[in-house]
Amino acid sequence: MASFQKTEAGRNLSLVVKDAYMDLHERAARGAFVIWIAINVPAEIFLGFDDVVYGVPESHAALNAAKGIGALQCEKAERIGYSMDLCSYARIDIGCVSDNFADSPTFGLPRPHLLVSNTNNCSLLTKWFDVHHREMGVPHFILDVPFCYGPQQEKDREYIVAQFHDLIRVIETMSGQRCDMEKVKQAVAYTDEGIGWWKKFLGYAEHRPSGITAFDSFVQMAPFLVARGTPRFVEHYRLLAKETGARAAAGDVPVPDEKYRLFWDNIAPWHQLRDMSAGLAALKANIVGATYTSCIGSVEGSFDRYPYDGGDPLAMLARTQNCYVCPHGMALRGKAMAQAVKRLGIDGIVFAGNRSCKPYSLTQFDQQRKMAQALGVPSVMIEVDHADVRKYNRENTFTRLEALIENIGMQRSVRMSA
Amino acid sequence: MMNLLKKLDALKNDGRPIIACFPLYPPLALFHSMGLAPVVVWGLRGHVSGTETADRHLPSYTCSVARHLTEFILSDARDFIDGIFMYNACDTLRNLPEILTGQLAAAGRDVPFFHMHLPMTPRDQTEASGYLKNEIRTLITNLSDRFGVKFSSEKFQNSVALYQRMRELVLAVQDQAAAGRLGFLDFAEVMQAGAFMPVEGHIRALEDLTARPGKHNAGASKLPMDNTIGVMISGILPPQPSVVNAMTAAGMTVAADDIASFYRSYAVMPEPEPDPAEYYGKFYDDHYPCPTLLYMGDRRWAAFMDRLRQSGARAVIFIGEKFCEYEYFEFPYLEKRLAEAGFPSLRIEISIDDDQHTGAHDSRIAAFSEMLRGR
Ligand code: SF4
Ligand code: SF4
Repeated sequence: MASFQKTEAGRNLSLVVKDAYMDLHERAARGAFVIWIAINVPAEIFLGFDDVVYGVPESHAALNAAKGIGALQCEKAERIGYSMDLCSYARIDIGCVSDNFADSPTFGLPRPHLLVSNTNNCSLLTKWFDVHHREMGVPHFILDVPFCYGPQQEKDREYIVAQFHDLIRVIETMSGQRCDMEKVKQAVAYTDEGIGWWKKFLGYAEHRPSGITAFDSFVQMAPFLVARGTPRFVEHYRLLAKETGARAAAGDVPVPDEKYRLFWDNIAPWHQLRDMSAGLAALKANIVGATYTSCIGSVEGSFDRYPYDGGDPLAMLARTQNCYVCPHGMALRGKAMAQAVKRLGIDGIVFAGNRSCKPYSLTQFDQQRKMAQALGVPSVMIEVDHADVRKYNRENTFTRLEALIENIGMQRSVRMSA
Repeated sequence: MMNLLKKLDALKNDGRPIIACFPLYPPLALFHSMGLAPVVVWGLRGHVSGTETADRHLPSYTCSVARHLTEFILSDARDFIDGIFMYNACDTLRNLPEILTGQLAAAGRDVPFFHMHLPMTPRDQTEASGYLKNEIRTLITNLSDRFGVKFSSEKFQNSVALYQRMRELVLAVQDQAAAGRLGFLDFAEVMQAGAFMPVEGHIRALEDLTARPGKHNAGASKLPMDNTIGVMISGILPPQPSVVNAMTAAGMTVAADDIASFYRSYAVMPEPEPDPAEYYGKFYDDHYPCPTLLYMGDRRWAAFMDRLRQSGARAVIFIGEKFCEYEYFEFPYLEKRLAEAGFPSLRIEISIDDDQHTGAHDSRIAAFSEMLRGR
């Protein structure tokens, strides 16, 4: 299983997350201006204000799922009319709000003054935040990020920057506070520095056996959601990278007898992290990388870090708005995936079809064929809803994963006997 | 399917390049004015048999609209299509173009893909009119470059006038259907056929329908109007004939629709003007609120309620397109507000499997009607 709990970075992670939620609640109770944001709304902007805090419903939903209460929260939303076919993050969140976060592991999120959704990861987020907008009577700001089939265009970048300015104006008007762009710039610089360490941490997957599992990286994403733009963000990822490097150098790796190096395509299966990680390790397999965690801090079509040049922070934030997997097309996704497969020496790809997340899953059949043609790497399609355990079948999943491993083994024998 | 292929063939014989468009509110008059033949590939249920090809590319949790559309474009229709146009809509549709163009290329067809980003920011939040104008102008340039066609202001205004005429007729026919003088299914058939014919032909078909109402009665009320219960139907697609027949059998009539491919498409259309960039600014800003137009969320309930009250309908039947998040996020809210306003509602879910199992909703519709009669 992922070793994060036993490490310094694992312990620090718990502290970072706990402190972030405590800080959010305490400052909200003292009168801070509270914003609920979609996961990829650039929180660095809020750090330009003295007393603005933010909560991330998707992140809170993932936490619920990881704690094993995702299905419980989903059912609450379903009881008030929300279809089981809707994204499980949304159902968890709507379920949580429906009874004022009664079962939340973080005492929920403080009531917002403003909702900020965006259309980049998915446009249903806007519909989801509209649910709260209507029920709570809280204003809803929609950040519209054009989907891109090729590299992000200048006209789209300008459009996004214009919306950032509007968002700042809205917060200034509503909160009575001023946004200090120097502080935003500093926050962007901290994020950039932290991402540098994040990429270094992910880079330990290149070692053989890998210094990390993708399951470690899933869990370690949390600071990106609750603490980016802060010195603590940098410190945490520096600690993580250095510690992982030292452990790898000492031969302390998650799957020492690693025989099969796999790559994961989709959101983390939050409710299965332990089981899947242990199950694969028993098969001498390790998922060493994932599109989900590799895309952070890059631009569409690449997993390499996109560095901040110290210039206009809003331009930098706009430039990286399409970096996540969902806001760009199949060709760009395939390009980045192919690079990762080569760089990490991947033996097989696990395409995790996710009923909850169409934007991530819709092109996977074609992508699977493309990867097979382009790289000759075997792959498998499994079905895992990232947060609703009711839509997951362990037996089917492992049967397929075992078939993939067998397939890799067979290909190896053919190559060796050739 | 054969029927639609024949229509495409007829369009092809007119010599106009055919542009397959989705989703529902593309700049049709612009395409028409530039000598192109836009077809809206939407609501192809009943025209596409099976989704075998689509299912090799799309997961089972994709809505039927996208699966039928994919099946259609990748099957025999592919030889007729000269271009694909799409503006940003839902998370499903935005991922289709590369699948479609990739497969068409593999079949030896180089079909260009035209894309336009419709700003989804609420208009009182972000000034995006300049962005949209630029998108329209770029589209015109790209169409001109690809097809060697020219834009003319005069032709554009003429085309808009034709679409205006079509809109007036659609609304008139809808009124006739609501009054029970025309079957809703006849209306639906003409509307669907219209998506695959030039606007001039659609106008003729609508004129024909308004001139000869007595001839058509499928789905029309069999009861005297004062014995029927008028309901409003709402959804992305019109209900299948089996649902309309079940409504008729239960003594209900479609008093109004809030269907994306029907009323939502034609409720509002600006007057012609020379600059298409200006025109489409108004077209999208003033559009009838649809859940797919994210910037209109705040106007949705008021528009929905106006439509309902004006129609005199006593209840609402939601026709849920399975896996359509846009619609399904709104249903609980609309149902709750309707209940508060004293309007009962029924939610029916139509999945792709219902193509085979028609009549699955009959008993719920009958029970709903009885409940309404008992009130
Ligand atoms: S649909 Fe996918 S991208 Fe959208 S909120 Fe759900 S998990 Fe996230
Ligand atoms: S029915 Fe809904 S999910 Fe399907 S294509 Fe239309 S808007 Fe998208």
